[in-house]
Amino acid sequence: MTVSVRRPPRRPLVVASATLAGFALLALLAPVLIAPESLDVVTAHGPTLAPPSTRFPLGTDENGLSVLLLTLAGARLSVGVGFIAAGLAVVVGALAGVTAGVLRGRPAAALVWIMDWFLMLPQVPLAIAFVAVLSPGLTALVLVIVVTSWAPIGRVVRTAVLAAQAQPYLDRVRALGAGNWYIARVHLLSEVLPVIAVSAALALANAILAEAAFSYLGLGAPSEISWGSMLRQASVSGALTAGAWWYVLPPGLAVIIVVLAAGICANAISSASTQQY
Amino acid sequence: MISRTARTGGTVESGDVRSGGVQRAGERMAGVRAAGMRSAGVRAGGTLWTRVLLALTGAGLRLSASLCLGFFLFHILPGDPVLSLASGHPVTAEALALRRRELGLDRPLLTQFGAYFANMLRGDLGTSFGYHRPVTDLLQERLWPTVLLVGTAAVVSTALGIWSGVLAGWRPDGRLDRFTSTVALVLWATPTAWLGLLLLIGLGTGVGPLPGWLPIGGLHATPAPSGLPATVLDVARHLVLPCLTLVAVQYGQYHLLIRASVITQRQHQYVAVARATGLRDASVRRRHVLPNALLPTTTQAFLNVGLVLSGAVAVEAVFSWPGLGYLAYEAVRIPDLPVLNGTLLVFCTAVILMNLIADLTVAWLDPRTVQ
Amino acid sequence: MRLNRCVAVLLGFVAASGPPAAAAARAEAPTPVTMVVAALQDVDTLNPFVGSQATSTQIFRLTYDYLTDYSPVDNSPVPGLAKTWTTSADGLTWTFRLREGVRWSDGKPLTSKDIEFTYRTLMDHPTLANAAQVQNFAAVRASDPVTLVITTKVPIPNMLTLDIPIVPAHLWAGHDPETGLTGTAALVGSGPFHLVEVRQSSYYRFESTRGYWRGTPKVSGLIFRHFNDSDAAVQALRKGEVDVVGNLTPAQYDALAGDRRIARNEAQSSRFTELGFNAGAARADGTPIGNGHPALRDVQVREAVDRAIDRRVLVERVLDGHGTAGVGYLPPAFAPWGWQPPPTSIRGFDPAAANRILDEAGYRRGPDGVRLMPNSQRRLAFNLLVPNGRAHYQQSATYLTGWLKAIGIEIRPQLLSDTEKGARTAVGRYDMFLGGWILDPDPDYLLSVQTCGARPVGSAVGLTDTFVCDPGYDRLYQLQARQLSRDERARTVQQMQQRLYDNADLLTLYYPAVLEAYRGDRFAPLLRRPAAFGSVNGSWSYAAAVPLRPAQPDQGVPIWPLVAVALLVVVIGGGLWRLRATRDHRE
Repeated sequence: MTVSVRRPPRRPLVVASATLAGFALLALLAPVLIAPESLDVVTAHGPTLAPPSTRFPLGTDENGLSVLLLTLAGARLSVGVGFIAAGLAVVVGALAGVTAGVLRGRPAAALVWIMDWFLMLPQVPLAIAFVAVLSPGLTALVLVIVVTSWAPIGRVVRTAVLAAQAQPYLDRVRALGAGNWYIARVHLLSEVLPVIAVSAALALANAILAEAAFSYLGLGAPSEISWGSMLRQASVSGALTAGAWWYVLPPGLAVIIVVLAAGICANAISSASTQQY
Repeated sequence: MISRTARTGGTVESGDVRSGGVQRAGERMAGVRAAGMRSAGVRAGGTLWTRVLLALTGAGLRLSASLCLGFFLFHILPGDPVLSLASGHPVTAEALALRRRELGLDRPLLTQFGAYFANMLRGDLGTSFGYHRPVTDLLQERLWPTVLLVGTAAVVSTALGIWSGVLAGWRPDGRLDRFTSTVALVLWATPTAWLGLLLLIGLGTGVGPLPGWLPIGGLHATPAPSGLPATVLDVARHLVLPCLTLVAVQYGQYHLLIRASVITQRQHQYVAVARATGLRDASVRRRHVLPNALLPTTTQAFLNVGLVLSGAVAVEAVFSWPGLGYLAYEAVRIPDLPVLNGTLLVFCTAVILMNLIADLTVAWLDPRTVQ
Repeated sequence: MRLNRCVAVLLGFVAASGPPAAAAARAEAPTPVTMVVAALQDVDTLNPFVGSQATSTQIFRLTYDYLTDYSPVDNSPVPGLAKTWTTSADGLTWTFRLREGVRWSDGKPLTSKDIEFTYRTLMDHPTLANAAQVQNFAAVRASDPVTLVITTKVPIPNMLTLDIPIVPAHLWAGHDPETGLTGTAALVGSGPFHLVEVRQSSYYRFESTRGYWRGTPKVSGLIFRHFNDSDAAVQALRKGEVDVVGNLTPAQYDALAGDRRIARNEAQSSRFTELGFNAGAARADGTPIGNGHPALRDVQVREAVDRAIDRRVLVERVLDGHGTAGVGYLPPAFAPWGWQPPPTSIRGFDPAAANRILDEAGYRRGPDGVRLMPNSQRRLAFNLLVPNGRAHYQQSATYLTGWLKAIGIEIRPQLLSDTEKGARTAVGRYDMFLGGWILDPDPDYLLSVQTCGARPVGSAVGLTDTFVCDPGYDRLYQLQARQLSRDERARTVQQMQQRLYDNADLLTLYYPAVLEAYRGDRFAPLLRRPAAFGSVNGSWSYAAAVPLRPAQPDQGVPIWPLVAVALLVVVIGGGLWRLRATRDHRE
């Protein structure tokens, strides 16, 4: 049995993960980097809905705040919620997937059935339901994303665990006396980890897109800045009619950049872990 | 790729990990298709009828679970919906008590659940707080615009994705592949509402040199033309922009999925044999590679229709498309609990139904199904 | 081969249907002019006894008649269905002589019996939307087909401004007014327009009533077209898909300035935006309810809040200058009822004075800068309910948060739907809220909202706005209700506003202008009501609209989208079938 690992070009992975790390850092440091006064409508005195200029590189919004600062500040919620929600979903999903893959019989089947039911929960209607019933805010947002994202991760991880367990060489390892726990730790983990990593990257991408969609629809945290809420504000305040393209483009482009980076990471990791028989 | 509207369903989970994962898992389990068809509760093999029965039972159970979820969310969690009904009018205490009795809020929880279940089975979903009409009527009115929008988008994006995916996968890393795959990836990463807004401005209103000859929104021109052909064309014209938005954001995953499958298939021996015997590339693509690569995509397409129903809410909002998604979104403002309950049920049912169809299609197409 | 034939047949069908459709659209072109109005709010119901949304009431104004109407010049009452009227000496009996020859859209004549039926239905069902307007009616009698006699329990000055659509008794008799009629019977009315097509959440189509007693409208038809958001409506206005759009945001209004095809209108003094306090929510019998912050019961705290607000900035930044700073309950320009305090007693923007007041009243600042109550050390942290309907509420809330922080008060804005906000305020579970009212031509309703009697009885939902209860105000309210002389009544109303201002249970922030735009190249300037500063977006202006030139023909419709879709469906279906058929060849 030969294992040949294709070596894909490393540059996309490096660039993509650097981008993600950069945005994550921005999300963490935004409150420190941006003075709160520049985002306070009372103290900021820029012209309303002004096109880009030297003083405001990306123009201003309907309150006279700098769109550039808003976009940077919005990273905190958009990327932060993305990481937190994706992280939680990955933890829950991976645990569930591994458990379902290692267990046998009725418990495993029950777990699989539960996962399948969660798989079929439609995301936006559930978000609408949660927001209508709970109060809109960060908790509801993260909750919806986690509830709808953990199950696909669980299914993928379970498949990987099953596939890893079925490998013929493991029989020989067991014949040599290795226990289940040892096998799980040493062999299965190396098979399953890449799958989890890819799922995590994709979950992050989906979480950020979901947050943008929810905030645009007004289902997100009401008085916080995020990329989706900027799009909503642009619609609600009539910025589109006024032709304020500088207000509409940056949040969408920011989402594209981060989600693209996450997607490229996912692709790169999955390509790197391919083994051909 | 995990679908952009959150995930793939149970059938194509191996396809979530890109090309290599599909290939590896697939080869071990006797073919790509088998891995792609591993779906909830449906085991490979067995008679067609066994698989059908299992799929149906699974679907029924899931539906009941969704009903329970609806009850929990909209009857247990909300505090006192009766006050919301007052809607700014002064209401006497007797009227409030009467309303509570009408809605059955003064009976024990179990009785309420029983009544709720019975009503659901009868098709009575209550009366909307906002529109003062039966929820079933509202759902019926708004269902077909959403189905039209989502269905058309699914068909077009699948077709486009297959076409470009096959061409890209046939010559991986070629110029065409790099171009289409980059486009696919970027579109996958685009937020739906944002794209919709841009298209609305660009092609709807017209900006700069672009003419705005597509409608701004809505389903019909006002007044709507009469006669079937004119109506159909009018609706089609209004369908273009919202459909284009949905197609753009979904196209990417089909392209990438089929491309991965084609790359895998190409490396199989039978392809080399076919080419060696002198068959033209296009023929090989069409007769051998494409059908094998098509199956995971088929099931994916069915699953996506269910999921994308919910993702279409943003598009419906941007283009004033009178569909289910927008009905649900409007209902949050009040909050119109019966309507929310109804729309959640419809969406859950749609996803379950689509999963069922996917399972059945897979069972029908799977050569290992013994008839 | 089979596939190709299917495709060919389909293509043929589509091609055959294409050209006639386009030709039909062009043939529709000549004279009848339809005015398309953008409706941003959906219609809740077409039942005139239940509908209360703005779009619904607009529709009722178009399709039904009323006892009296409003003059487009100054909003004073003018004859409607009633041609003349007399009042008894004690003001309790009104005798109306009705117009003759008015017909329902199904041909039957409109008589006093219809009006009697309408009012009696409201009297019998106090939970209906308009029932509050007849709560002081003692009896309604149709003495003959053209005479109506109404006796009231107390004198009511708003008898001439009843906003009650008159329904046909011959169709409604025996039906439950809460559920309403169904089918074509539900669309029968006597107004200048009648509904011919209803597609809820899409559009409502009206045709003008020929021979309407006030004159046949010059537009042959009217369409209310629903839009989910105002930007789409404005785009449609620019494209010519709609003719009238109201409730524009300041940014949209300013953006339309350069377009020569579009005429704009700024209507003043028809709305006010208030900041309400929970200064002691209680029921009509005095039982306290809710969980309002105790500090707000101190009028000095409320006055300090007033002085911390810079209304000029709100008007300039939030409204972009389209509005005026608020002082009195009713806008000063709302003649003759408007009022503003004498210049010496206006609480102007003075944060230093606000801080001084709070310091002297004993609210010392805590370690985090937020003031504490003198005895209980409870922080002055209030929640602020903000309705999510209009953008300016949320924007104002952001400014308020900043200003009040500067004087040591912490505000927590909560964005809610109107109904949720109503549910919270109804039971007193709030500290402060932002809200707004649209002024009726007669201020009686708005004034009644601030009376002690408007508070809830028992566990009911009251009419009250901020649970104000001032016996002096109530006395003046009873007085103005009996004063039939407009000048005397105006003076009393102004005294009432003085009391409201002194109590500071609510603060008027600003009077936002209503911003509207319409296609000035298609219609002569629309009618404003009132003429000096009013709105052009209402039934009065549609009925009086004069088209400038015939409508443009509709554009030709491209058929390629349908062809593409049909092709793809056929191809996919065929592909699936072939997959099934060839499965034996695989693997």
